[in-house]
Amino acid sequence: MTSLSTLFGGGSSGGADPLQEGLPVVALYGGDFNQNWDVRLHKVHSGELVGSPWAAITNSTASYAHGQSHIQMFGYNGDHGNLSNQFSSQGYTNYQHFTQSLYQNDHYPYALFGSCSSEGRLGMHSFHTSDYYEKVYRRINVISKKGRRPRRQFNIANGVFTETNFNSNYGLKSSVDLSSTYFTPQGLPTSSSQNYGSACYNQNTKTLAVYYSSSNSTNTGRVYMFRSTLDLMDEATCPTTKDFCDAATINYITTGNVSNWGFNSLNYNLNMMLGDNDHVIFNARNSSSNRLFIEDCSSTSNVTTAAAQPESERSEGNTTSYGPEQGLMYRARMQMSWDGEWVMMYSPYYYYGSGLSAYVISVKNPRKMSYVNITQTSGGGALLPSGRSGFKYLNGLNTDSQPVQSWSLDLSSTGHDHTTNFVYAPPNYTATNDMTSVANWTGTLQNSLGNYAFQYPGYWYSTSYPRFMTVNHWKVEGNYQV
Amino acid sequence: MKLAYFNEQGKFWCWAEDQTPGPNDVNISAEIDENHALWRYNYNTETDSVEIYQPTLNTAEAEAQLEIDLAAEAAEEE
Repeated sequence: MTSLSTLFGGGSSGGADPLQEGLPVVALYGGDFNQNWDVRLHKVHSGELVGSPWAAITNSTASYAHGQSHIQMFGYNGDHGNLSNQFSSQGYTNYQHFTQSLYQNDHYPYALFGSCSSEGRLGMHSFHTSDYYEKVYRRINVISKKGRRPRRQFNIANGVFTETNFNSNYGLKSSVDLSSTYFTPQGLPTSSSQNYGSACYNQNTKTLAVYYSSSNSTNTGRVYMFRSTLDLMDEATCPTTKDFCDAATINYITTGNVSNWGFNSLNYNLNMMLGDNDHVIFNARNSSSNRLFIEDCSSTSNVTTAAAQPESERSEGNTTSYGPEQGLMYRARMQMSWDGEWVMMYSPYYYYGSGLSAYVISVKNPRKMSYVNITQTSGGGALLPSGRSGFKYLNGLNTDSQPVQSWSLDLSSTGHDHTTNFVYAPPNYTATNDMTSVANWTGTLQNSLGNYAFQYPGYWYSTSYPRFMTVNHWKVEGNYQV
Repeated sequence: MKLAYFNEQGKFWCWAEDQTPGPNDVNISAEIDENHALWRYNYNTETDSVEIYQPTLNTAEAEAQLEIDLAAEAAEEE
């Protein structure tokens, strides 16, 4: 008998996923910012303009406070837009500038300080309290299915696993105390003021990996694997965090050398990624150092002594920068390609949010990895998914007399086998059509910015530091992902 | 001193001991002092030489100077 899900295009027959979004779109806002400014939606991959929600509005100081454009906080000098000033090293409390930071956007459909609807409506999250970052920085990484982003927000803090509404310190939906209900983590601090533990959920395998250090300032710990029969992202079948955990089998894998300067200094926060093959990536940014570790967590029984890591630790130097030890809003982030096959684990090259220091990693097999750094020291920027299987770094430098610069990477030509090279096209592709390859795990991708590779229209005629804002829904029209 | 590769913009790309450019990659290399912050280096393709931002300053002083320069640049464009 044909199942209903198959009849309606779902199930294992490979029909369309009704929750799948169109290809990635980004909102840009910019202008000359004394009187004129604009918001435009562009497809990230092609730069194609797919929406100009403010096209019919005469932007001026006198008239911009009406209708859809009634957002003075973005468009006027000295307020929350502050679009005519350079970004270099402003802290998170200066969110006039922090919206330029590389930290602003990640895989979630709602970014740190603000987001944009598919119609072009910009909004910032809770200006009047501090909750816009207090909750965001505890949310877990999610490996989403193809064409999806996390539509629920789960958080880990000490032994408690919670769901809240997006980007708020409040709005608790459900919670469960992992440590008393399912296991007893080694060295779990009793003080609830400490933000302890890191986690990643993989929607493909319905598995949650939770990491706890054995104690402060140690490099050993345990990864608890929750292999559930429920999808944590499906509110119909998995309404609470306890439902997910109750439907899971749980075991732990002891890890070694996950953080060789001691977990305490990182405010207990690692940037984690759980691959489809149960290999776990740990990414630790601490000042100038950007480190990557991998552990095989595929065992379904407890592993009591630290297993050898399948690849050696990789460490890359950058500039002196803030990391999670200065505040969890400075933790490294994860971005994901639209097809769900690749992630980038990233942090800025310079200080609070300029440039890029990132590992490109296969979701199917995290042993497939390469690195890129973009040595910018000003201007901020954003790392976004681009097309089906790629990424773009958009540089936030002044667009007076130059277009928006970008670095791009298409991953459709490299496989997931870690015994083969990492294959890619150089970002400034010209007449030569040969691919470039670098050694897997140890290679470094070319980091030139394309001067005209990604030319957004406009923003040319006066001082303009463009902002890149997450669009919380990427439209699909018919069979086209627009 | 250590051999480094630079990209099209003259920015640091990678250390030569870690990576060899592919056939389609930009191939600009020079010996640089690894003790300086990498962002301070810029390869000038017109003079075929490596320039260092504020060579007489230490890293902290150079970072402070960069902030001053950026603020002045933004003010000039107004």
